[in-house]
Amino acid sequence: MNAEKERFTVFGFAGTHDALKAEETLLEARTDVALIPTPRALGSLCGFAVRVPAHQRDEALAALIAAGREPDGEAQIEDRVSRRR
Amino acid sequence: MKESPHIRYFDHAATSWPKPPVVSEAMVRTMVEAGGNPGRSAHALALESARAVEHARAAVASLLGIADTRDAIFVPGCTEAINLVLKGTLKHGDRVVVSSVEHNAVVRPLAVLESRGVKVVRVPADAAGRIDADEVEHAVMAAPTRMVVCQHASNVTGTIQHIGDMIDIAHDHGAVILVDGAQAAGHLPLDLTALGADAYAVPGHKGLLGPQGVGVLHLAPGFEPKEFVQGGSGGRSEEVAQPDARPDRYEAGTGNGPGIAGLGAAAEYLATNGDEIRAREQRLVRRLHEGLLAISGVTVLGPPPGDERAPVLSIVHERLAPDEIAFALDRRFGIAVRAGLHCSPWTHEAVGTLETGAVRFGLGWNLTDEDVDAALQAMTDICR
Repeated sequence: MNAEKERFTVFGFAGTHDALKAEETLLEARTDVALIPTPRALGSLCGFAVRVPAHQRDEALAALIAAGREPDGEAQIEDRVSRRR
Repeated sequence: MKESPHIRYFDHAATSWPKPPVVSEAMVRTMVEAGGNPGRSAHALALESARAVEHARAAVASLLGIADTRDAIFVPGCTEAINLVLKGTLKHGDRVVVSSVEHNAVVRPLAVLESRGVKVVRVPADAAGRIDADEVEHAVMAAPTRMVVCQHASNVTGTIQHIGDMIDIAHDHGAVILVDGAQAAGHLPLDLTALGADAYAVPGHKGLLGPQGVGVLHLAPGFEPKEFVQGGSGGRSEEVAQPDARPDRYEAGTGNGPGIAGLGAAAEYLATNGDEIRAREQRLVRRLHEGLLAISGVTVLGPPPGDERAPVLSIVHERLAPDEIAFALDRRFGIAVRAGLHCSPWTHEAVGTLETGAVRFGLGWNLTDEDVDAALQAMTDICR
């Protein structure tokens, strides 16, 4: 088992619509984006949130702001359960 | 699956049939491949479901000219959209100016509101069911008015109202305006953001060719009627108050995912084929109109031939009752029409057919010259 932990930034949005639009924006920006269940650290905004690698946080946020899709919340997390392949 | 019966279907104003095959295909695909609850969970099936809903929202918004997809609210139908706007806006003491050719989707909720102290002022129509914008302005100026309500096109006469003028009048005098687009969407080209109504209600299952059980409410930015239903939205679960972000505010509870996907597929179909369909509908309604006028004893309601209209024609006969004609068309000729008052007693009152009703031919995307000629031949035989 590889116990290495990755760090991520998670952006939360007010609704599903906004979260999916944010995913579109970040895919277009070639960010390594994933939709994940919203972590408690973000309260409970939308049921899912947008996760990007921590090192891509600034460029992802810039892309979202440029697209008029500023997140409603942000949190930093570590991936404690996934296995790296 | 049982093959569809051969019917010459002239009841598109009630609901379109058949649907383009892409509609049912999208619905089945959504149930099989994207059956999760959209906007709730983040597992693969739920995400596919959420994506299907938002894909459909984008397709519908694009077709209807809604600039911000968040302003395209999915609702169970046009009637519920109208109820939401009326009951979410009008309060005791408010005044509403309404055309006198509205469908019961407007008339009945307004009757409830009237019983709660809302003042309802009706603007009369001419014999073709057309509302004079000057009369609307006169009514709006008579006293402070909260809302104007007007249909875009009639489900009885096909009359198209000067809705742009109505919107300007409402806004010039500080009122909001609700437009019932039940017979316009799909049959007329629409650019709702440019049109500028505060609320525009659309059924999915008529001219938009989607399934029954889903519709669209366009709310202009800044117009915020109280939501009709409160409940789960997938987000902000710790808050008691309904979230105010669109579209979630107006879409509490699990929506009709397969229906929404079907409507989205229909919108994409119309984006490609809509111009051709509308041109054919206009040509066929004129052909039918001219042919019906040539049949002895038949009177066609609404605007004269050549005037633009939604693809709806209603007729009365000097000797035969509408129900007799409709029954004969169905049983003897396999032609589906609708007889009666069409849930629009106000309109029939305006055009003088409240006591008799009428026979309505509602044309749609799949009809042909041959269908129209068959209907005319059948009418000739029945009315001779």
